[in-house]
Amino acid sequence: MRAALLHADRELDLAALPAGRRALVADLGLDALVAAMARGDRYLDDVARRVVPAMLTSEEAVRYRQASVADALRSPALVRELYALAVDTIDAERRVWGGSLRSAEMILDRAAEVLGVFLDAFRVLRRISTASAGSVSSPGFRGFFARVDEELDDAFLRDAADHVERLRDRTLHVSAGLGPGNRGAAHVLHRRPPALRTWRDRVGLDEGRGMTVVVPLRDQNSMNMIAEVRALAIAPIAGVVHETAQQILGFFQVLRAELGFLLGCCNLAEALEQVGARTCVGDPVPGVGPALTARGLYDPCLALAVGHGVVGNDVAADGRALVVVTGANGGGKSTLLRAVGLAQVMLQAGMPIAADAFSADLRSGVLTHFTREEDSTLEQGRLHEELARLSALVDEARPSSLVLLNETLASTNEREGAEIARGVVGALVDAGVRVWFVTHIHAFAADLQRADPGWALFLRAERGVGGDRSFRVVEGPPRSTSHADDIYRRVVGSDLGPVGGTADPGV
Amino acid sequence: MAEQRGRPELRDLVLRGLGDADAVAYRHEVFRDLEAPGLGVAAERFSAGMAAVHGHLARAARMPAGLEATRWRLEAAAGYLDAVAAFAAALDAAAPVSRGLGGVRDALLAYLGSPGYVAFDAATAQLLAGLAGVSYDLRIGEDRITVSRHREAPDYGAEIQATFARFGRAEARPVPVNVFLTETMNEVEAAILARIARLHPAVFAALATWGRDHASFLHEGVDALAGELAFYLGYLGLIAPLRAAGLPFCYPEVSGTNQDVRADGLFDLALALRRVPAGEPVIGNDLDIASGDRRLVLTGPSQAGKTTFARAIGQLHHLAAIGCPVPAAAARVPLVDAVHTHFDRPENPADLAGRLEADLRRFQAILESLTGEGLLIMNDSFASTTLEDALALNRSLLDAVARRGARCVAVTFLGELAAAGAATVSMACVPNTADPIHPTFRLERRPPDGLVRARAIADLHRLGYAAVRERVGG
Repeated sequence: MRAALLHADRELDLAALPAGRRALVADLGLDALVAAMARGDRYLDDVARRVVPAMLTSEEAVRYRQASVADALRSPALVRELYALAVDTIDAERRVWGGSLRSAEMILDRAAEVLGVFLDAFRVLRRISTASAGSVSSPGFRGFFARVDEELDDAFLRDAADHVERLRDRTLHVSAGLGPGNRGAAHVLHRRPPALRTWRDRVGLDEGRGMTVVVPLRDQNSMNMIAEVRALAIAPIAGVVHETAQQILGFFQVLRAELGFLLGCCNLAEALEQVGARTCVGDPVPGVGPALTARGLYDPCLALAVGHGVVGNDVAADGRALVVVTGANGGGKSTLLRAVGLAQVMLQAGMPIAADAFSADLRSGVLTHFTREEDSTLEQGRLHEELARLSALVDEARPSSLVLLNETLASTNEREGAEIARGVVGALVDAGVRVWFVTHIHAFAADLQRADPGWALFLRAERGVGGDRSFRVVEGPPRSTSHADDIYRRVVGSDLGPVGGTADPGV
Repeated sequence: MAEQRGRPELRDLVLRGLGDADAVAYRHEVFRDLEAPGLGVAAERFSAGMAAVHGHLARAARMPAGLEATRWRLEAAAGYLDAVAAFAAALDAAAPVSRGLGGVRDALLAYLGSPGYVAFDAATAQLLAGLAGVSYDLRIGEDRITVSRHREAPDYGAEIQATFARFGRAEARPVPVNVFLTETMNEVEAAILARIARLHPAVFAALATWGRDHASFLHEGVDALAGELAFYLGYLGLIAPLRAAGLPFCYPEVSGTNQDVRADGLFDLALALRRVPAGEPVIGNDLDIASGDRRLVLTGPSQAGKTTFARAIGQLHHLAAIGCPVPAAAARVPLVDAVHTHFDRPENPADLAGRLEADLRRFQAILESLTGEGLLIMNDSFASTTLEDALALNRSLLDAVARRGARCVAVTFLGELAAAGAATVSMACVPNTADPIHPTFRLERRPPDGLVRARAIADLHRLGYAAVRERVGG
């Protein structure tokens, strides 16, 4: 009995998924996205944190997930009902007394009790399946309900109820042999034999009288001795039943995790809808070439934060391994970079995407290197610290990665920065990595643009009329100023003075 | 077998030198035999088997006589028979060349062929088979347990598993349910056993007979053999991971007459045992001392390998004297009668006068038992007194050692001690010219050099000669 709502071939293994890397979470603003999915629920928060960044890497896997998500978005009430069943069942299991006890007798008693709890949940699951199977169309949900009907059928429910009843019987029937020290060993549990034996059995020649050991019920010492014998006899079956109960508990835990992710998607979609932001189903592009095309791509976290729809960008980067983004400060470069990263992550989580349309090839991971506030001062220690972080990113990078660099190498002068950037970015692109580079290193961007390799796309944060920021990023070659004069003028009230075409200190 | 006579305790085997080159050779032969993989493993199994036998016997001895105690003795007998037969077979197949194990093989084979052993073996095997065939049913209620003859019936646990198999996630790992049991049966268990015995009277009668007939079955020589093998196996087991890590061990050429010492790549066994598991490198050094050289003085910066090397020299002599492989690629070692050590122990710095006196008394005690065949290792002896006092004390005491004709290895910061006559060899740490901060841990024959450390610190702060010239300019 598998849940398998999120993957065609397996169940979600939440424990095996790491929470997203701290840099990725911070740089893409995943906290806000996760918060919208979790709505204050710590468990949903944890599920989102692990499942969202665990990128699916095949087209089929993405489409399977997308279909389940689409069913969930169509029937949020069904998702909530199933999720509540999983949560309630897990809670009920936890409330059964004796979870921390170690004696064989206690373990068996508790496991039998727990099986009873699960049996009730199975009946509810059957009822939901019967009522809802017609309203779902994804292979994930259809398969799940089909398995519920087949594997939790009436015969199973009857057998399971019979086992629970028998396990509650205080009288055990076992066979055994002699182990070390002539103590009982190799105990095997049997069903209670028919109540009435034949006449021959009752006067059985071998047994006769005196084959029963009886102790006084009120003698604690004697009762303890019986308990030892019982423990020895019960231990194997206690292990079996306990393991069975654990496995069923595992099923409900997986079910809760998978539904938790889908519930998070419902929550997020509702939140975005409330602020008037549009979403789309992403289109995974098979093949080996770089592909990324977007219409109206925006940062969902920004939309949720400001409470209304935000300016979207169009990007046509198919065939481009490197996208260099230059232009005005405050012109939306970082926002675009975050939007790209989030769209890629959400595409590969099968989630709704914050855009009118989005298609991209599938990457094994998104790695980010965003300049921290404190990095952007020219100081030797900063460069070391920044290069150490960049080096850590390179450690993680694979040819199939998407790397987002935001103002990387701002902690050194332009000449050094350009030199290092040429080496690092060039090597990444040549290795097959897709790179987005938001940069003020004009020497790097301009040189590359002059060489005009077909695999690089140049975007520029657009400057509105009279310095008004339009928050749009359009295709265009790098310019030698980042409009610092604009900002300077607005803030200081006077001109910044001539800004040269080169920032080389010695020129 | 570890020695040609008697049955010494393991501690004695490790601590006492043999004092005889032929006795050393006798142990080397056994070690070499046991290093062959087949025989080594067989000896390990024999050793472990005998340890289990003693465990069972001790357990039987702790409980009252009866069906349970006899069964534990039967368990011990089964383990004993298996261990002895397997080891004898392995020895027979491996054809040991050592005098020690060759003798053991002959003795064991004779024992295995003796009528007493053969009868004991047969009786034990028959009884074990009978007990293994005993089965019975129990009906366990809350206050009563009924014993009856076994009737075939399906395994209900398997039925439950089959019903719920559809929830099998990953591979089902059986949950071990620990049952706390007293060491001996309780009265209810004993009562049940008595009823099982009534169902199987013949088997239990045979058990009682066996218990009377074989009250003590351990052969004293076989028992002693296990104890002596522990010495060899313990040492080989200790050094196995070091060998696997590529560190060399060799059988030294041990001489009772020639006083030359020579060791290639000698390393500190104790340090290697700590460093190898941590994946840290172990550095060996060469040692070459002629018969006439009676004093070896080791100098150099602290934490650069002096004490380690001195310790390795002590280990080399002691391990050679007890007939063990030594931690070096090749070695020639004279037999010493004892390795004495005098190490500075900075445990009570407040009481300097009292400590000096205690140090002197320790030295005095060493001098009293030191002979011309002895080796003394001194490590920063009397370092806590003033420089002049330390120098004077060391000179005087080293002279006393020399008068006894004993060889001495002195680790010291007193470079003067290295220039004290023709019988003295000076070894010092090799400085690391490329990276003065990190010592090379290598020592070689060279005069003492007290400046290495000072230079390293200067370089660290860019106060070395070249650096200061550059910064000052001009």
